[in-house]
Amino acid sequence: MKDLLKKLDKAFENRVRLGIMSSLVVNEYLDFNAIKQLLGLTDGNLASHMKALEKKEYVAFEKEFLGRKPKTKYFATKKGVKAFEAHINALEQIIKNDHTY
Amino acid sequence: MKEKYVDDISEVKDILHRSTRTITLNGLSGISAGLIALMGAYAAKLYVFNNQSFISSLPPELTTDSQFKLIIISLCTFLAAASLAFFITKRTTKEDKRTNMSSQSKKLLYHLLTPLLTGGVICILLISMNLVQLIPGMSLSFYGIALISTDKYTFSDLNKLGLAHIILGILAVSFLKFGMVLWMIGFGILHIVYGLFIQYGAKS
Repeated sequence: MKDLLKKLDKAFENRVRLGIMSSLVVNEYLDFNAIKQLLGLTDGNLASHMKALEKKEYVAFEKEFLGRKPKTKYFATKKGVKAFEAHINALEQIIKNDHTY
Repeated sequence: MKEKYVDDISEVKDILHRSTRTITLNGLSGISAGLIALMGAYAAKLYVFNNQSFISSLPPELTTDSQFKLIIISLCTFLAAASLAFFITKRTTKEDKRTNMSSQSKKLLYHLLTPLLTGGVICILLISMNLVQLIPGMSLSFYGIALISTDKYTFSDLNKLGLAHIILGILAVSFLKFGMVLWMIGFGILHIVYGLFIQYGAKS
């Protein structure tokens, strides 16, 4: 059990970060507002959690211009996808190994 | 503590699901599409096929005038059903902010329209080549394929409806005499049944 807990990724301990990562894993890319709407977050809240994931190099972004409007596209990096999968596997094993459920 | 992990997993599942799907079809859009299809079939019988019985092979040759009428009736039926479904869906989706509209709607439209327009063009060509008998089967099959290819992007289970249309389409080509009836069963009755089912059946 202790070993399994060690496999959990600290970066995904927070529900919001887990949510951001989930949405980026299944979508090629999403823009900031789409994620915000999807998860029901405020600008500041999403920005700070996104920053944390960027620092871990789990997500990255590209800026492009639609006419004059800047648009930020976020996507999951390979490292991020791998970490996410490992985290989910660990979660599932912890739940499976626990017989109180 | 364990509860947190279980919640984490279900939250992830929920987001994976929501973030790839754009719309929930309203049952009313299915019912209205079905009724319009039946009206379209009746209009074709009346104005193009000289009021011949629904259970009989479609005429192998149409006059240019009838060909033109058939194309117009088909387009009007399609546009009426599609735009009504679109407005009903749009109205209900607005109230429901859970979805990720922007990037996924484009994918949904792409996956829906590619098979649909291909089928549409082929059907118009078939009409102009006087192969009207194949139209019911072709339109059913292409529509079924279009539904199945959108399955990943909507909340509603469209693949069963799509599969049913494909089977009816193949039957309609095998038994040309029943083409018109099978077309009405597919586009008319199945839509209405499906609409009633999601409107009233799924909630209870």
